[in-house]
Amino acid sequence: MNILGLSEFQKMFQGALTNLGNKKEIVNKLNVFPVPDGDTGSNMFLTLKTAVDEAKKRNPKDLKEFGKAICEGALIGGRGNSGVLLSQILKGFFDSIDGKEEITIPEFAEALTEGSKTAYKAVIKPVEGTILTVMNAIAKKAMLLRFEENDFVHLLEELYKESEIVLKRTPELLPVLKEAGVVDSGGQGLVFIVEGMLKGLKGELTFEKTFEEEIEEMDKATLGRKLEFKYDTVLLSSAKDLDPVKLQEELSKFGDSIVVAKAGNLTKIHIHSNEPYEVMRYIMQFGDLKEARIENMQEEQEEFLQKNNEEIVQGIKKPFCIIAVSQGEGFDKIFLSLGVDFIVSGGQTMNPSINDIYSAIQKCKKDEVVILPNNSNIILAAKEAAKLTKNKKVVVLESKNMVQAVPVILSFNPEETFEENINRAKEILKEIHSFAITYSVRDTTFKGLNVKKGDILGAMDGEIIIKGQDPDKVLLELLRMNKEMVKDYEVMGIYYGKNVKKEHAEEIAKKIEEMFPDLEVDVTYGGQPFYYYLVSLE
Amino acid sequence: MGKIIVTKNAIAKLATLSAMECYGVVGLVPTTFTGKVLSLLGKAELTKAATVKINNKKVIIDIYVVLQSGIKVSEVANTIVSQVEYKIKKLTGIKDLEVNVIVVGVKREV
Repeated sequence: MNILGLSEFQKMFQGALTNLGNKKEIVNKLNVFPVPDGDTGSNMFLTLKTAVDEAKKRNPKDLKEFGKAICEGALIGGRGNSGVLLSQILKGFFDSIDGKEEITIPEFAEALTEGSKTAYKAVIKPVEGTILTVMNAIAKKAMLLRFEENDFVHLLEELYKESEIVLKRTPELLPVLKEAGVVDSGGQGLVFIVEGMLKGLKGELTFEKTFEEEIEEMDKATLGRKLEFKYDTVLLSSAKDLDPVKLQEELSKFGDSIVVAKAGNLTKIHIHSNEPYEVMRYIMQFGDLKEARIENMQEEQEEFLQKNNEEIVQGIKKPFCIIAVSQGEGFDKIFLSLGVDFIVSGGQTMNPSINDIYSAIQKCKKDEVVILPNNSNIILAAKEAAKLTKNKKVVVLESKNMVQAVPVILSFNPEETFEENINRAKEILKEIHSFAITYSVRDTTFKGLNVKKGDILGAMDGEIIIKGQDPDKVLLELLRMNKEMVKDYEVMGIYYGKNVKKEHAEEIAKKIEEMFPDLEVDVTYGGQPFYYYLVSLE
Repeated sequence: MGKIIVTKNAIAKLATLSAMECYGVVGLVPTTFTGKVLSLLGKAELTKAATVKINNKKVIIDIYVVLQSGIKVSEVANTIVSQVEYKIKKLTGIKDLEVNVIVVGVKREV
């Protein structure tokens, strides 16, 4: 392929949009410059989406119209620094090929150069190590290859490779990035756009999810949860002038999982509701129905539950929102099943940023929020995030590890007030004892204990007390040392880590039960790194 | 304990510098006579394009800018506000801050 026409451009932009849409969270997470607000990915995606939507809406008949639609869409939809910048790149690009029906490789390379130049023009002091640098490199590479290459797919492959190489260099150019240990977020967004264009052109990522794919995904998401709406309804309406966006809003009063899509002259509507007849009546006032399919999801739901044989714990209905910091897939699951609304991943050696926590707070729909930082190093960040929040009441419960959080969450009582819950939780935190078995990552001395790298360490309530060579022996020894205290408790929860086998954990639980006949020992998979065992006493 | 004093002049300078880094800002409008002379000489970086007022401990900054045409003015202005706010809060520790952007002109493309 050595010529690009309208249909190729449409494929490339759709590919770019889909790819960026899939990966925008990655971009958001990288966002530290200029303001670390974690929205670069979303901004770029929304800008590109307005542009592509505009191009679809106008149904352009040639490349000129397409380019005009993209540029105007990007201008209107431009969001944030990176979005506005993207709109300038697109403007420069399409201005350069204005009036052409098809473009050749050299023309494409020149258009990229124009795009890059236009982008640089709109800022007094261009900062290198950003999306600008990546764009510039792409344009330069294209200019370099323009007479050698005769295939667009291959050219885009080369440009994609080049963009990745330059992206990796951005921390060297911009110190803020290096400090944070990330590559530039806008640059990463641009790399995803190029990747998406390449995939789109190759036909790998041509279209957005189809209506069927989208409803399948929604139906799947409903499985296993408590059924709030029973009837899965798909309607095919031949009514004219149905506005999908407006319809989607209007339908939300009947149920959820709403998808509305235009298919030629027909409008497809998917919704989960308890009153399918009301939905039909509503839709029919606009025109005739061509088809209707209503399915009761109850049966499917029960089948699913049996098959999975997993008790789906419905988290307690509570008047406030719980956020927990978690590390390890086992703990993620435990927390979610207990009714934690949002999980912020992080923990030992991987502390989440204030912004990670802050954005979780913002996602909460309720006015009162409890945060369980689950690590002494994260408590401060959680408190800062709480301070930043103006629109909600946020309380940080100072849980020092994940096992402490479990009984706290279990203690929440929806019947009581927020304050009562918080006060009880604080009491519980004081009473819980926890043990942790981990290993040392370096040689050190700790309160008279000479520790070598690789030694197994046993800690109680965050204080390292003993060392040894074998995790099991250290845990047993630790319990033996605190025998008198352990005796006063009824339940012990052992959460075994990523690198411990289930059988192994159960074996040690048996030994502990022999040691303390009155103690009830629960073994659960925590999946946490670094810690062999996290143990709680309640 | 001693005191830390950040002058209005310094804040204005900081605001100008961070506005300059914003995408879409192509010019600054000097607020002082010296600034006007400097900008005539093409030394945009030395210009001070912001005025600072302090009202009941609240710091109010007005920044005068010229934007690139063919760009969404409202979005760029919003970016300037958040970027300047962030920088000043981070560097000086001032908490109560109001940033106003005055778009004085739009530069035609060449």
